[in-house]
Amino acid sequence: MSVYADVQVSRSAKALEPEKLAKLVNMSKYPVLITGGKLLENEKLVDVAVRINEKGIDVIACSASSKPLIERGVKPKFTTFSLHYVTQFMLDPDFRVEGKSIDLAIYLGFMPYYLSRVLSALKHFSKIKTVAIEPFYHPHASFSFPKVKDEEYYEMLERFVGALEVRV
Amino acid sequence: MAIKIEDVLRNMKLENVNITIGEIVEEGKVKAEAEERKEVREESLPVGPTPKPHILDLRYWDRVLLERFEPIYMPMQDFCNLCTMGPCDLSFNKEGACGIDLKTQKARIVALACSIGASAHATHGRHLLEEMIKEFGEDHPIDLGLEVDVVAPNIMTVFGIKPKKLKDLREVANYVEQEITRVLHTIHTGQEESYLDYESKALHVSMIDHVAMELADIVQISCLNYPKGDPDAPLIESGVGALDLEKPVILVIGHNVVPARFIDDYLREKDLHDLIEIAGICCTAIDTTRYDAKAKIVGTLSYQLRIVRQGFADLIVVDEQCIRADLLRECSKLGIPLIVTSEASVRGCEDRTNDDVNDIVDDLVNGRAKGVLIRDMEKLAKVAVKTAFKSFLRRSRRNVSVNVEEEIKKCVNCGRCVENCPHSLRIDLAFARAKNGDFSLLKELEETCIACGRCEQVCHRGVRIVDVIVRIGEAKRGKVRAGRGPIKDSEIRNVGQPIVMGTIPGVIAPVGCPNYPRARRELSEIIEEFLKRRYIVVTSGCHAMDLGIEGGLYEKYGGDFDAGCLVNVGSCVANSHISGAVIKIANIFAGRNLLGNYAEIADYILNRVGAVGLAWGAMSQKAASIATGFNRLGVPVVASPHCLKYRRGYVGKFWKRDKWWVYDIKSGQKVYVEPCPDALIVCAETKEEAIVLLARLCFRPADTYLGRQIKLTHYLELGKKYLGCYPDDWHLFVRTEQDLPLKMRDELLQILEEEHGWKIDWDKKKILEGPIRKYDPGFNPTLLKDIYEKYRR
Amino acid sequence: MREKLKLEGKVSVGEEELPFDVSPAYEGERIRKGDMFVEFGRKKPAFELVLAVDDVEDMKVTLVGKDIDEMEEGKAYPLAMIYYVSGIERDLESVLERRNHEFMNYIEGCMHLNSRYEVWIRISKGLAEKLKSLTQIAKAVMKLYKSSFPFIKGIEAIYITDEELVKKLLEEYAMPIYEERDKRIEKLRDEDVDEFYTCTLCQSFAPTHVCVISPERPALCGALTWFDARASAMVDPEGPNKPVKKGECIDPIGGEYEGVNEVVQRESGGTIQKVKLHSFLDSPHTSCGCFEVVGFYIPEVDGFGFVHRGYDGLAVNGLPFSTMAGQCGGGKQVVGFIGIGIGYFRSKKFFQADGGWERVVWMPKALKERIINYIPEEMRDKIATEEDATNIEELKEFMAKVGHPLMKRDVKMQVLRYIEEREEISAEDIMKEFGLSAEELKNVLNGLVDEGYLEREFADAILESLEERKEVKEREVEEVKVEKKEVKEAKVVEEEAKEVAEAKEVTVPLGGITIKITLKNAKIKIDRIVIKKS
Repeated sequence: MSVYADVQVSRSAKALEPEKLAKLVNMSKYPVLITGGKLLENEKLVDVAVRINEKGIDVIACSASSKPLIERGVKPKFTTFSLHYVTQFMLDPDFRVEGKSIDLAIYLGFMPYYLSRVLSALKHFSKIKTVAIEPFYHPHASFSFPKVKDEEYYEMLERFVGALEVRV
Repeated sequence: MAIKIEDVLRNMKLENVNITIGEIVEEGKVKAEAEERKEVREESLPVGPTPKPHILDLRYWDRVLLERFEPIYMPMQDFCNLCTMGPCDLSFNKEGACGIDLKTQKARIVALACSIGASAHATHGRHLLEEMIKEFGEDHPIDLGLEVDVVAPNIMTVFGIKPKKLKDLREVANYVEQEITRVLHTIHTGQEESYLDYESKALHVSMIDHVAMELADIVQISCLNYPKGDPDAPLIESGVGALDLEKPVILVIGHNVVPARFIDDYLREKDLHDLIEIAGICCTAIDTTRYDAKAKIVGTLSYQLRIVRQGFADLIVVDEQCIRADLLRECSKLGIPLIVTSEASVRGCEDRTNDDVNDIVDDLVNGRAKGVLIRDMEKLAKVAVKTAFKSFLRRSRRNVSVNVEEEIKKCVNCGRCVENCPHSLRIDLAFARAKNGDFSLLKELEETCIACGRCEQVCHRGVRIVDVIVRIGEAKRGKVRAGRGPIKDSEIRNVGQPIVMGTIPGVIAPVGCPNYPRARRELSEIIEEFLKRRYIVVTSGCHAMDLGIEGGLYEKYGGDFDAGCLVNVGSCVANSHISGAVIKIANIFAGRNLLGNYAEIADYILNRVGAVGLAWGAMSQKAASIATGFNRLGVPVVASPHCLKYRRGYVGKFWKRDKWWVYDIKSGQKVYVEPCPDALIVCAETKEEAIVLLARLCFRPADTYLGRQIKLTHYLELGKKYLGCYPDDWHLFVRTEQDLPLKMRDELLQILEEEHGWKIDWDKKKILEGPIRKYDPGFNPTLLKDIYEKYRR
Repeated sequence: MREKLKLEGKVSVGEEELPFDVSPAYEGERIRKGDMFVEFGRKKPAFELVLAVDDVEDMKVTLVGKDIDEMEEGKAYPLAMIYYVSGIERDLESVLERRNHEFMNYIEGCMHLNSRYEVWIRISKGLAEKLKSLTQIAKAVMKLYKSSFPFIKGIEAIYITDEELVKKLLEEYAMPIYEERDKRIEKLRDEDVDEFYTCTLCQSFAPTHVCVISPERPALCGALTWFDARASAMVDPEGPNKPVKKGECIDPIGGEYEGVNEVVQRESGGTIQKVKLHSFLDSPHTSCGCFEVVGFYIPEVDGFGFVHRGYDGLAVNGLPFSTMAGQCGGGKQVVGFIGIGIGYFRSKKFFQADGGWERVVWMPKALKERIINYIPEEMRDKIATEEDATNIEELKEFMAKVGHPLMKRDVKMQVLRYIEEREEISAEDIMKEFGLSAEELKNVLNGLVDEGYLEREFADAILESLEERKEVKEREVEEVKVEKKEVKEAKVVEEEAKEVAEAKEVTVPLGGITIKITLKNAKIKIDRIVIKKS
């Protein structure tokens, strides 16, 4: 059992196959990809983020993950605000990104205990759907990858990205 | 024949000689007269509207803060288990059986944590106060040196008196204890209905915490001859590598200097001082070395298990706070005697206070008593020294040998340790590589590992993980400047002009515990970025220790409160000197009265003083109350990613323009301003993010154009360096073309025109349209209607 | 306007992409000997100069002498940096010149210390590798000048590394200009200009305070002279330094002007009605918190003392700097304390409303040494330091000993009061009361007559009685004096006896004689005996 979420969890994330997760994303009105600090240490995660962005999904880059992304040609909608700020914004129904209201957020590359807190806040206080594509099971997300190790994880990411439709 | 003087004097006659003597005084009185003159002037100091504020007296100020710095809750628990009507599922902000909803319940926990933190300092302060009154008398003066006239800014501002003697502090301590009890009471079942009110309680009790800390520190500085604002306070030998293991080692762990001080005095008295090492972990190390610069600082609280397991401590003496709850067990395993001294931390030990010194020593040394409680400090000193010598002779008997290779072989890579590690360190991977002879990942882990031992708790193979990691690391050695206590009034005056003229961009204050998200030296990397850029850096507590031991920064940067210098104020209670320094600014520069005038002072600080705290490893409840106390005063704090677990942040929404306004006393108008600071406590995940955020939170509405220029320069440069681009919101902080950094002015004007649609007069290089407001050097902002009315004629 | 030098050398015109970073972040950068490539100045002649001219070829640099690629690592070279600027007036030359220091320090790998002909510059190895030519350094600085001062029409630089030429120009060209400037600053009076300047930079922290900067009263923080403020006002007339028309001069001695009063009333929201620029006790200038020196009034001697920030002892009145400074900050107008900048000691109008230097009685030795050249010669020995007096009593003694002008003034007033309070007065009484000699009493009485406090006939009457007693006195004088001396010596506890009267030598025959000392008719007054605990 994971340590960063408590035992008495009221609603646990559904662990879904990557293709199903991708479908959820495809069906949403305005999904965003939110990237974290692990992108500074792991080039593979940067690749994944770039490819997701190439499918037409906007990126909010936290934890200075904007640096490698910008080098690869991505133009994140936000670069300066930490996940703490971004979550506070997302909790406010008035928040817009260039006029659009976020209805689904994909999370990639965060410390597990850090992301879990954020997902908990969104779970309790917001209607936004959250999808965690990390190598950990995140119980507070709406949907999450199961706990996977290394090679299996990159495969799952591959499947996820592959199943995403290009957005107009 | 020689003339004898005695004869002459004997024969001296006085005829019609009139001798009048004005007065015969003792030396101290001359100074006392000057003091009297001071007193007369001070008795006429006006007292503001809120001396000794009741819980509700400053609620209006809290509401102003909470309105713009909206609380954000990240629940740790979906359930509340506090009373027997539960457990209650509060998810999705449902109400529990008592009617409380999730947000309010979280705010309640926050208030509880802050109360606990405040109580720690209150008890510490009261203990010190009563001890020092017993020893030095209640009329002993409070004296922080000649260059500190405002000796107790927190006490003055909150409580409303300027304390001169120890006895004056008794009523302050009473007030502190009373308020903590009051706040604690409100956490009882069935009290507040709104999370805003629990936040107000948290803010209140945290303000009280700063008063308690100040009380504790000014008492110890005045009585124990600590450095008094000395920028050249001695550099203390620190780190495991600084210990002379050829001598017996007495290790003190905790926060209160009293036990260590008595041991130190006893050693000097018996001329044994050079024969024993006194070394400390955590704040007691800092305070012991303020008392005796020859003592040593071993390290922060994450070194406890490391040191104990290495077996070279011949005696451990503990007092209170942040001490491992398994210390007695760990010491017993190795036969290291333990003495406990505080009612807060008795650990099941027997009270031997009234027993014979030699009996106690015998029992400890022979292992009949694993640990003892001694409440008489003089006896403690004797027992400690004798035990240490005898225990030293048995050091070789302690079984500390660990066969690292064996332990590594035992590991089967199940990964349970990773799941239970607070940092999710890849211990499994590290051990796997080590099996093949590659120790690099293990070395990396050692830099982050806080040696908490949770990994060993779940290892089915009984691998001694902590022992392995500890033995992979090197024994660190460095120098930490002894805690100097207050910032001198003259130092504050000194930096006034450079701040308004833009040569000092801001003040960064790294404080707190060592639960860093990654390697320990990361903290030094963050801070050195700012030292090189001529910010003032003030530090305390475990952070202060690591900046020396890991970063070697005290030897590179001076100890004045000045640009590019690093000031260590001291232990956790010395944090009050940091809040005290920002309070003093309001008094020294603007002549604002401090006594009982909290809201006006906090309002002044929020709008003008560009200082930001950095809690890059905050762990405890004290850290929560210290940070929240800074917040009520208008000082923002950037915290580590672990700090989301405190459950509550104060994060404003910069894009909600109508939240960011002030009354301008000068023009008599309500003015919309740039959102700065736009958060009071907010977390960052990486050091890169933290650096940019720290630069960003230094902006203030009342910045002069030169000050704004230098702050923008750093913000833009740091953004480029760490984020890969200029930050998203830099343009919000531009009021006039004068605010733009010189060398980038043309480029920035271009961006303002092209990307943000501003109107530029290119001939004169002036901004015509675009900023939120124009720059007026006489801008005099306040958030409070009554302050506005007070100063506006 | 000045004439430009015409020199031949390597020329580069126009902006270029610079290979090094330029940012205020490098300001505190120190380049140690081990890191340096070359240094300029210190052992070799060097100077910096900014000159106002009519026309320039904008962004042109001429380098005369060796360039960086011809220099040897580790060596010291001469350097002259001359910047010709069009669009400024001559008075602003030194204001701009001071910025060369700042701008050169902004260059990554370049360190600049001191000013004028004492400049010392180091180029790091890292910078030397990137530099194609020293002209690039000039370009970086010139660009910063243009950004800082938008009214600059154009700027042209000449850098010289040829030793002979640098030496020659320093002596014949630069030094006369520095001297001429210093003379101008010395000579410029408040009366010579139409406008003063305000500075409201500190309002960011002290909202009701405004500094009024005149040629004879610089800013109390030490950062701005009238020239600096003038330059800043030209750069941004809406900024923190604005011109203030003096208006009618209401009080020329105190320095009170209609225009200044208006500004002060406005900025302080009506709290301060008027300010006298050169007065300590009447409507003094306000301060925020960053003044360099605090002045305090000592009522016991009717004089002024000064303490500088950073003095960590007690002033002669028993108070430390921080306490006194706390009395007069925050934009308040407080009589008895005042915050000033060290530059004000230089002013010819130094507190002239209150008597100027003749009212100054005490300051710490460190401060006195720093400003010794500004103190009028005749006052230099009369101002006590902590070595001369550490309390009021000692101060009074010192002042009496050195004949401080205040003592005379003070005694005169006291004598006057004494006379006024009594029906019958004799010269002897007065002399005894105030410890004056006959000569001194004569001077005091004559002074009082001159100043109109005493009638001539009255003074003469007192002096007559003096003549009669004079003869009698002279006989007694010897004995009296000897007695006095003995008493004084017995007084010694911790300090040297202060001679009040001198005794003639008394020879005593040797052998079989005891000495009897008789004290007659002596009045011994001890104000205070301080017992020190050991």
